[in-house]
Amino acid sequence: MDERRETGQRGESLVAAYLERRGWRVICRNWRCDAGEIDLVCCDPDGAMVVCEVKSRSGVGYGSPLEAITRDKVRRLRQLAATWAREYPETIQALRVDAFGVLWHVDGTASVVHVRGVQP
Amino acid sequence: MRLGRARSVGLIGLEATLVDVEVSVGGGLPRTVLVGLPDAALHEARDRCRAAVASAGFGWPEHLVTINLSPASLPKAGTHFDVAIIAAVLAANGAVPSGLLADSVLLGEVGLDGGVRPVRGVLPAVLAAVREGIGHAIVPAQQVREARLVDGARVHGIASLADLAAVLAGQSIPEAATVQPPVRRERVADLIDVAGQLEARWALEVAAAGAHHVHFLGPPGVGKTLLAERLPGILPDLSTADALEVAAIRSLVGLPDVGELPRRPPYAAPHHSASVASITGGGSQIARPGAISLAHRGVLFLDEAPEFSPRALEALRTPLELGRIELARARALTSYPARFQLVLASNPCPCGQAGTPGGVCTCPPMAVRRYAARLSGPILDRIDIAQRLRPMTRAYLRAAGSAGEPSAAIAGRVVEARRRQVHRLREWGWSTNAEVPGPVLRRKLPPPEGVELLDEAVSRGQLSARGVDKVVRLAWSIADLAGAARPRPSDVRTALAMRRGDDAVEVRGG
Repeated sequence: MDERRETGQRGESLVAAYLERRGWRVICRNWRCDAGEIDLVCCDPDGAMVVCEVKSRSGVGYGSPLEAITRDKVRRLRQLAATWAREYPETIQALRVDAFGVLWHVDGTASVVHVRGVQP
Repeated sequence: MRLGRARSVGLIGLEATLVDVEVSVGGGLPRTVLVGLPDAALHEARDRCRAAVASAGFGWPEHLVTINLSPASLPKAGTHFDVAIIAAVLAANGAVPSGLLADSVLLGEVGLDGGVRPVRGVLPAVLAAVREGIGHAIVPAQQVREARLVDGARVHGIASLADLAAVLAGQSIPEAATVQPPVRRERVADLIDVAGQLEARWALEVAAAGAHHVHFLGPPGVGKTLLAERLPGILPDLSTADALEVAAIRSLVGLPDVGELPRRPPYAAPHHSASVASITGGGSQIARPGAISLAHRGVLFLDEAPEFSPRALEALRTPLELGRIELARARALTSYPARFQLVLASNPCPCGQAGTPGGVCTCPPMAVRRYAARLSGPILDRIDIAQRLRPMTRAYLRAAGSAGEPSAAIAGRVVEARRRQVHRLREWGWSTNAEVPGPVLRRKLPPPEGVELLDEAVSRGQLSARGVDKVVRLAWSIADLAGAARPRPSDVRTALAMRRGDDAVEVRGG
């Protein structure tokens, strides 16, 4: 369990660092409510709020990381995003859900796939 | 967004349409969608193809993969689109060159191991592709021979997806590596085995000569079935066009031995428990061919005909007249050829002895009548020859000798008679007497001598208008066998007797 959570945490940190390098601003990490958890919320260079779902895998034996994001999961994420936006004190120009697939290689490096604006 | 394109063939019955398989890869979460009116088996192609591609060592794109089968409005059924789908996906992914795909049709089902398996309907599909000007056919390795029956396309056999990649890359696959199943040859029964029954043998010969329908009537054990089974053996070989039609139907129903053109006329003998759908063709959504289409250009034998369900028998009426059958089902209207020669065999009553010299019938009179009435008038009216068979006496069997004439000798006369018919009828595009429509028979061909015999039979109510034409057709066949230029009065008399099933048929005219 710990090892899996660690893989997930490492992935989220990696994505956060990756986005900050590209001029994104991290608003919050691991936001929780009754309905679930949001990995990462960022503000992209265009000013849009982006709810990020990060999936990490350390091999493709069970398919690519992004395959784990099912239709139901996307629907849940969009609801979570709406809940988060209602509680956020400032005005939001635009809101979107992005998915990130992080694949850790054996040598410690990782590759990231970024899908903008996922639809159920 | 990357695009890949390959072609396959959609079959509704024997009607084939080229289907473009378009694949777009890119954007979105990894997901594969299949659109374009697929049926259940085809919908499963998505999962089958993914697994096959993975085990063949290629990667399935980790993107949104949209597979479209176009024209999207045409209902598509079957598993033979798998290979085309995979080729289009691999081409979109850049894993295989797409040069050859524009000029090829691809057919075949894939297994989870990446192997390519045989499918139904390869022959009609390749025929359609060649008609549309496609130059290459990529088919399962086991069906290379079937696809090569069609002239005009280069056929590539593939046993696995690795072979598919090799073919698309322009490499040649060694033919020897692909195992061809052996062609099965059926042993045809010979008329030499049938002792006696000279009249019935003669009736069979006339039936073969003009492709007439026959009804054998007689007690059990006199050889009705023996005779009927031997009819295909004295029929002439099929022409190339006819053989292709026969092979296409066999391929469509998935009969395994379409390896070379079937030159011998087909033979179908469904059991009397057969349902209407199994006789005429049927099934939900899109109808499949039945026994009458499997007997196309050959013989349909209904043994114990009165035991068939009345609905199954009556369903034969229209195909008997039209030579084809149209079947309307939920998803499509299909039309199958069904120009068969019908042979019926029946007992005269439940115990089988009614009207048999020396036999004692134990049935009550009503039972005899009810039994005979199971074969309806409209069906019997479409039968050209009604032949009664009697049990052979020992003296008769001795006189007839142990061996009858072999099939080969009779087949020789039949071929000669058919040659005369083709020569006489080619102007109107027919090849057998039985096919000639009434107007041509009455107005274009010279009238037989002794037609007045028929007028008499009509005025006595013994012959219907259709019956007159049938007798004239029979008379022509008898004259053709005798090598006469046109039917003589004796031929007309014999034909009339054959048609009515008279007991005293004068064998070979008097």
